[in-house]
Amino acid sequence: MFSYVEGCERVHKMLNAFLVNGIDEDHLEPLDVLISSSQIDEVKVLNSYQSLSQQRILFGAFRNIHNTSDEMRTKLRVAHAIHENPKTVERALEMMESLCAIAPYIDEFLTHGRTKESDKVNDLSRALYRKANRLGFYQNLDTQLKNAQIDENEVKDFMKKLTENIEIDVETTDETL
Amino acid sequence: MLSFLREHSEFGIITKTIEDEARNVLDRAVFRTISKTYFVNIQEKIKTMTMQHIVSNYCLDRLDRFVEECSSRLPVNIKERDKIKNEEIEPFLKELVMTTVRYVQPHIPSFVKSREIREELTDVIVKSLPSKGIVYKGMPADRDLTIMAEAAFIYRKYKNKEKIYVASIDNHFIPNKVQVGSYLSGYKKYLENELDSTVRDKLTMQFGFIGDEPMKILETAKREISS
Repeated sequence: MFSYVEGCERVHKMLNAFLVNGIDEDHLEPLDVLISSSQIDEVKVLNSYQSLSQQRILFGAFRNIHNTSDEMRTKLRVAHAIHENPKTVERALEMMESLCAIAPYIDEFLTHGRTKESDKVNDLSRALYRKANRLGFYQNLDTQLKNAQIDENEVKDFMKKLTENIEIDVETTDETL
Repeated sequence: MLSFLREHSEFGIITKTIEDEARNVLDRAVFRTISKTYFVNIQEKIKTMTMQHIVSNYCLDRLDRFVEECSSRLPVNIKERDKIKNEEIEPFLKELVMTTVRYVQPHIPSFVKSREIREELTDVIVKSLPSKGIVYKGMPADRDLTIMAEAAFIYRKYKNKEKIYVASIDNHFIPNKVQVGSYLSGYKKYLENELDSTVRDKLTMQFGFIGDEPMKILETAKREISS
């Protein structure tokens, strides 16, 4: 079983080495493992016996880890190609703080099949997303939708249902009648 | 309204309670949307879960921007706010809702079975009623009481000199549309151009804040700025 704590530590070490020696495309393996593991775990959690709300939180966390690390790999490759100064690597190292913060909670879930602090996971996952967005390690909206093969009509349909449910929640429509 | 507040952010107040509540509403609504979805297979489930994740992030990002761009944040004394909520607003509304109705339902004898006749009779009776009673959607949820208490707290903080509007689409804060129903036929409708502002007005009289729909508050704010 893949350990996210160890996985993040390996990526951290890899980035520190890049900072000293420059980016080496042949040594991106720790990041590749993090990307593929988080993608597999995204599906695993949706097939688990967790409640839907827990699945949603953990799926979001895995997806944020996956998207962030995937975009990090892309950015590192570009940085290598253009012989960029270590700005991207420094940013990636800054990004690792958030990835390392969520990793123990993910490992707890993978080890015990549950997580006691789902609110904490949710908060850390949101913090990870925000930081990744700020540092440029997250795909834009269009790319995300394209990668997930979600078309405009599907989004519209979802938004329509969501709006109805918001109205029910704030009681602008009365369900009792 | 948010575009207006972007230009005049000194008029907008988004308290932490309101911000948290907006997040909670979104979270509950997204969860409700996915929990009502039947997943044919795992591919469909992955797609829906990915979409809810993208949409949630997008909405939360927008909310974060609105909070930063469109509002000031006043300090709220939690102890004082909870005191207003528990000792003033909650008892006041508990008493008030004992005399309100959620919707107007005229009594039609059960032997009138036909759906059409029941609906027609409902309309005729409602039209001829001298008074339709006070329409209000029952006791507000705890989170609504907290928001009301914060509005009252802010109103008092300005020593009752400023107008405090609470922009909401929640029926517990704003004049209520008059809803008519017939239980046996499942008939329901809103009466056109009829709003019952009794409870809203009583809240304003007692606690100072004025609840209304965002667009109506926007019109008022624009009018007050130009005058």
